[in-house]
Amino acid sequence: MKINRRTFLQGVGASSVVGSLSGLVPGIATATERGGAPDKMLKREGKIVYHTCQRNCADRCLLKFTVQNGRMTYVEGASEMKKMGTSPCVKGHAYVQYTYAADRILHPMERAGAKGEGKWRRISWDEAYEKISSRLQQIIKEHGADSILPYSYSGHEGVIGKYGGPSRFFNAVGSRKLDRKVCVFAAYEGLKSVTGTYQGPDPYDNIYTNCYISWGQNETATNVHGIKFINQARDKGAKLLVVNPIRTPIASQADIWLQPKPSTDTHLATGIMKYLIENDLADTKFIEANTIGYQDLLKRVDEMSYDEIEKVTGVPREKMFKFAKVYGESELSVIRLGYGMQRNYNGARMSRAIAMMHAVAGQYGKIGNGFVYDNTQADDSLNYSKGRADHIHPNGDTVGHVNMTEIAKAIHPTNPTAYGKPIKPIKAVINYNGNFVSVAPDSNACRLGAMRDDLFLVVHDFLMTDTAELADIIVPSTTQFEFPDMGTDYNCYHMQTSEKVIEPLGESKDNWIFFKELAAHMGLDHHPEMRVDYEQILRDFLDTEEPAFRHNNITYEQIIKEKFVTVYDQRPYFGDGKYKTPSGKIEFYSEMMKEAGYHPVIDFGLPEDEMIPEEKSLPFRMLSPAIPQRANSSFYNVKYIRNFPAYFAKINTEDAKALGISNNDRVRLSNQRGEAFFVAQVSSQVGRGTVMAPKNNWRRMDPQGKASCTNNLTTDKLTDMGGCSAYHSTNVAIEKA
Amino acid sequence: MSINQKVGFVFRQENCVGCGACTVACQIHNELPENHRFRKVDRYEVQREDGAVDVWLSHSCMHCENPACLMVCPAKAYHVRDDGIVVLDREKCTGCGLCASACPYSAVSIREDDGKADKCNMCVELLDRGMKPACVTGCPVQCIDTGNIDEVLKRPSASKEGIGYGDCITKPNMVIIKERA
Ligand code: SF4
Ligand code: SF4
Ligand code: SF4
Repeated sequence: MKINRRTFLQGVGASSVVGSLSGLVPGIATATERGGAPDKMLKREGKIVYHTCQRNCADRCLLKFTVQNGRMTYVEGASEMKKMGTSPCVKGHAYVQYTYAADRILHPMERAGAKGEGKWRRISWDEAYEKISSRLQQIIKEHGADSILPYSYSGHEGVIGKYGGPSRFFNAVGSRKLDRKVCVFAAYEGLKSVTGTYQGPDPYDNIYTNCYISWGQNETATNVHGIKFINQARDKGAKLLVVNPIRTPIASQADIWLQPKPSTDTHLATGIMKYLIENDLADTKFIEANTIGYQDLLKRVDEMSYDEIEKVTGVPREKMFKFAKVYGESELSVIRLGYGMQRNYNGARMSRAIAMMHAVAGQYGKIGNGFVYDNTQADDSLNYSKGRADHIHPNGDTVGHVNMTEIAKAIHPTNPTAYGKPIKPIKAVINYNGNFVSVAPDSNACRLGAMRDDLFLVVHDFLMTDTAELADIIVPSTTQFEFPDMGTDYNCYHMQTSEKVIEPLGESKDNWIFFKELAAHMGLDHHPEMRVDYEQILRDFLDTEEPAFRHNNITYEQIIKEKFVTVYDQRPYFGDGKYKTPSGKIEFYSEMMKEAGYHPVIDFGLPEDEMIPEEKSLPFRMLSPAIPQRANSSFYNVKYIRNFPAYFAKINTEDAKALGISNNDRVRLSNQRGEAFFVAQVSSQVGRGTVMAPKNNWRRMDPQGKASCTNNLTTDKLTDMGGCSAYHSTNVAIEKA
Repeated sequence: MSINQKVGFVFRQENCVGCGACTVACQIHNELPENHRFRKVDRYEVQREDGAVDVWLSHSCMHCENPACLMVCPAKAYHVRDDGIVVLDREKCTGCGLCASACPYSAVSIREDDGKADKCNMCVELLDRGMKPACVTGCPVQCIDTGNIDEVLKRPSASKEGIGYGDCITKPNMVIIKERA
């Protein structure tokens, strides 16, 4: 009787197009209670609190939590907000389980054995403060305050959690500065060289486009709430084009999907430009009115042949032509560029080429077209220097900087460096909102540095992470739900509230209280900035003269009352034809690129050019992007989420065959940095010569018990411009384990 | 049994991205053990003219008109409501497992924690309050809905065939809408 689901497998036939799902009749008028479980409704009764998800995710969902007797019981999307609908993502659904996880650390602990041995002694907060402050004071006395390094990034992306609370402490101490540049910055430079900005139009307007191009982006993992707007456009006839070396869900659903070899996007964009130009699909009227350097571009494009493009990208030219034709003939086209693709040694240069391509097509300045990368309109309007109290840093302008991507180099036992130069040794790392052993590239080297006996490592976290297990002292942090904050998204221009949902669990202390009390123990509370409450920090951030805020008259009270406000509303984006480049035009010829040492029009450099021979000769390029069920190193312990696989390697069918690897086999990936073990997923989702393994998985949760993780393999060399991480410029060998 | 209207699931398979939010939203609403899923998401690799693509099927109980589970259950634990929803009364279940092996859609399984069968009741406690099931409100892509199947089936793109899903003698009540070819 059992019917094999595969017997229903069939090709996709043509079918007609009718209305949308919304007209359905619920049809439950005569239903009875029978079979229901009314007690399941109880958790939905109670006070509703609005809180913004603060994982590092462009969606930055506004969520509604139900609270009963001080306990959070249920979460749903703030459906009154267009971007949200009723639903968080797969991770957001599990926030109650995240908060009440059985393995939360709820009291301070001190190391009771060797570093990393896993032996702990419970201590009181008073002891913790005493131990931390005396050791830091000793370090300051012996080595200077700039021997203390904060490490943090996206554990809490709220205004107080990320900067307002902790940064005040580090400014008061006078610590070394951490450059938080793991993400986006290569493309910032590349895009600025074309239009002067990395910001773009409102994604709500995607519903008006005729052509949505997803380029190097996996919307399912990092912008799932944007997909419904793409689908609305498609229901009205818009085309979906995708460029990605990995077959993402959107790539599977696309009208045309191009699968270039990783990091060859400059060549691909050039091929498309070439086709547009040769086939009268370049928008010459737009180009004349809005750009400079078009003749230089024509010349440069001419120098590159389709043969070469085909060879480098691996994309058959007919397929590329088909793509270029649909794109070039679309009246309105919007590009969504991913954050991942630019994490390459040539990240800035690739991003630049794609933005230039969009100018050749004349696709800026109207509702339904444009280029969406990082819509930080709300975030960039905040008064960061006041919110962080930068003015109290004794030598804030001259103190050394460490790029977080290079943390392993900065804490190296014998040869500490930053930006390629030797630096004064770091004697203490205070890790909060972060887990660098899992998240930073070259995890083995990170561990080596963290294990140094003369490095004092304090971890403020609510879980025993790969980093926490190497700490000298662990102080329990709250989750984001246990203190009030605000947050800005980086897709839809919103500034949102993050009300306190519950009281701190156990003895945990949030990102402001911990640093404020530590400051008091260290005698740093003579700064009035160290004695304020949450509201004052938020008001300091909102004390901004930025036009986006002032013109819209946005106030603290308004955000508290309305729960979310839209901060910026230039619509259509670039509708005035004013670009933010030095020339005021779109720059096909860029002095900025020239000054950076690259070709001022298009630079065809590839990551392989910069790899050491040992790595360059390895047969596989490893991409380590996000997966939908994790956000960086978060959610690894969370009930309902932790069983979704995160330790797999997608290997192309042909490659697997050649290596004698079958689906679900154990495989070993390796390079000069180390090795990591995964379960093989054999599929044509990745092309030949490419392997994909999820990013930021934890060593201590490796299901094979080998304490291995993807970042054992990744490179910590920085990108061409912007000082960004370049995880994807990593080569590996693969074998059956 | 008299069925006045048939409520069923409506699924836009062409839009599903396989994220698993529906599965988790269901587990959370129904307070399921971690390894127990009423709603599962399967990936199919489908060959097309210019190569393979991935298609996902999010599926749970089909609330069939001729439920195999109901027919084989010796404890009479299954019941079809007036609106066509097939509900399971777990109090009556003895854990014999016949329904689990009878269901052609793998929608019923025995729970590890109490050894009894369990399956999707379409969140009738929500439906009865005019709300939608947890999977429907829990899909960020908005590709699952519920509706009156007789009405939905009148739409030209509606069918009981999809990738990994097809009609059978139990007469399932899930409809796939494929508005774009
Ligand atoms: S991780 Fe992103 S999509 Fe998920 S709940 Fe948070 S903001 Fe929303
Ligand atoms: S939540 Fe929606 S998109 Fe995600 S797997 Fe379920 S049905 Fe598909
Ligand atoms: S799908 Fe299976 S469990 Fe559900 S009604 Fe049909 S036969 Fe029964």
